[in-house]
Amino acid sequence: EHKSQSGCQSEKNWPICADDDWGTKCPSGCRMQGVIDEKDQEYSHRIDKIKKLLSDNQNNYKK
Amino acid sequence: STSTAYIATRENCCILDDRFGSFCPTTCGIADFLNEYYPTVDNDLQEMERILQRISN
Repeated sequence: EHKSQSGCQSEKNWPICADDDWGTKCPSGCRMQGVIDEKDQEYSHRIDKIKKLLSDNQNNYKK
Repeated sequence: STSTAYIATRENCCILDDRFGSFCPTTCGIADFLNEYYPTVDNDLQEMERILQRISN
């Protein structure tokens, strides 16, 4: 659930990460799931397009 | 990848502590994996898209 806007803001005052932080400080799991879902959707869309182009061209070639 | 889960033991995990439950990859590890996976898939798809474009033209 969303917290109040003011509560969110004060909790976002983290220092900017250094390269060394990678591994000990990691992205949120929700954020990673969002990225994964978005990319999955993009890729299935592109794959479907490729499949359609393939079958369309195959049909044209047979004629 | 394999279907059997990678289980932490004393031999492969020097910070193993049973009291903390089972071990999972960190989201840094997940992001690192995706940073390799996405460019590879992107390249493959782009190549197929390019070839198909040429064929249909």
